[in-house]
Amino acid sequence: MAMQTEEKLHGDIRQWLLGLLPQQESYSLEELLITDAALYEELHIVEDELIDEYLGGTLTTNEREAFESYFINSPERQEQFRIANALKVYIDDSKQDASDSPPLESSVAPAESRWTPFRKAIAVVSMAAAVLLIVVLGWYLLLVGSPSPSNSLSVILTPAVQTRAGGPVQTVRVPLGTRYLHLQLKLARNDYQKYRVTVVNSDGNVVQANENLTPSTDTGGPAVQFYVSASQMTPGEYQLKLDGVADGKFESADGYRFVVTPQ
Amino acid sequence: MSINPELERQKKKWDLSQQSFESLLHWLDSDRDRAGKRYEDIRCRLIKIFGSRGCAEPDYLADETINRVAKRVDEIAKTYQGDPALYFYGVANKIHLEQLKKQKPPPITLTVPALDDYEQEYVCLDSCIGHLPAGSRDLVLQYYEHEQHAKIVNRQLLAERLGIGLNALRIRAHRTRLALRECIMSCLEKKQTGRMTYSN
Repeated sequence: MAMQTEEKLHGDIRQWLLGLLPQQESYSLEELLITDAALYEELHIVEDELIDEYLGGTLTTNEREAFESYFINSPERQEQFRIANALKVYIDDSKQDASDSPPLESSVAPAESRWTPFRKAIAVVSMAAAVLLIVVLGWYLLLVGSPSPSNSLSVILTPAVQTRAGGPVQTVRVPLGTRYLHLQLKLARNDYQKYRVTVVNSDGNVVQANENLTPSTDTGGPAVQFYVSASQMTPGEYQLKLDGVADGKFESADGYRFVVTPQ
Repeated sequence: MSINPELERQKKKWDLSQQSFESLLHWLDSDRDRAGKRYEDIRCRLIKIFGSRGCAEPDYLADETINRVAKRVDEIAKTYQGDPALYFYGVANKIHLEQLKKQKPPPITLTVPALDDYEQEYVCLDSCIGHLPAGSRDLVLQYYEHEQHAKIVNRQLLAERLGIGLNALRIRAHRTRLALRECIMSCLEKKQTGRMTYSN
């Protein structure tokens, strides 16, 4: 389904739920709703989103009026509304609890002295320095710990071609200091919106499985991209099984092979 | 293979012959379990459609739709080609038109609940969230916090952390919320017994 069509469908469902979709378009949408399982789930998601947006005050005036006069007029949605409201309050309370944690200074006030202003200044500076240190450390760890061009090795793989001898196999040498392999699987045919990739080692053990991967065209033709921790990719042969997702079921789409060679 | 007790109740309620009911299920799918699932799917969707059209009794109208199809199912099965769900939809439209002729749409009587009317739900939510697996609990709390732009950024970060796309995250959060809602509904109904269950 093209992105524009998905967006239009999303918009149509929203308008339909609010009673704002013209009749003929409503009939077309209802025909889809009664036959398409994925669209029916989308309908429920949009219902929740409308309620959240109403509670968050982000609906337009027109939508807000339709919400109050049309959408909410069913006992089921009234209950959905009360639960959504409770969830919002619960999350707000959780955030409040976190910000109400005990202060760093002692609750017993020390006797005032001429050093007090200096102590307070030192405490403020110390706290600021500590916060800065935590932010810098966090940023560094995030930088080092997350896949990025500086710590990843990009590997472009094409679908395996099977021959009597087993077919050619791409080899990959992982340089020292590489934390991630950025695997880009070229698609011979891009027949699915979502894919699942399973990485299997030569012992037949699954090293990693990634679901809900969306094909991209960053590398020219359509490709499915994902990261694998380099520490998992010890020297040896690996097979990648690519499955497309259709109607919630997995269908075999392609296969890939490569060998990780020692340093 | 046993079938959903709800289906059995419906069959009796509509005064359908066993043969009509069996024929209906067989038309939906030759596998009885799949047919039962398909039947419930269609019924839920019909209820949703009637409800969204502002009908006062969407459940009744959905059952009436299925009843009419079931009574003629042998004849329909011989000639109709296509998705049975669309045939049900056609009959539903006819029934809706009949309803509109019979009576005016019911006046709007339900208003938006007061924003401070959530105590019972809050108590159950608090308990149900505690019963969620830690990952699901964190997902719900993180996915639904923040407003506007902060929400968008927060969700992008969350999706990256989980290694999934934004739409997959949206669906996962919704399914967890659905499980949470079912637990809350169950809690509200069974508050006396205090036993809470999750459907998944």
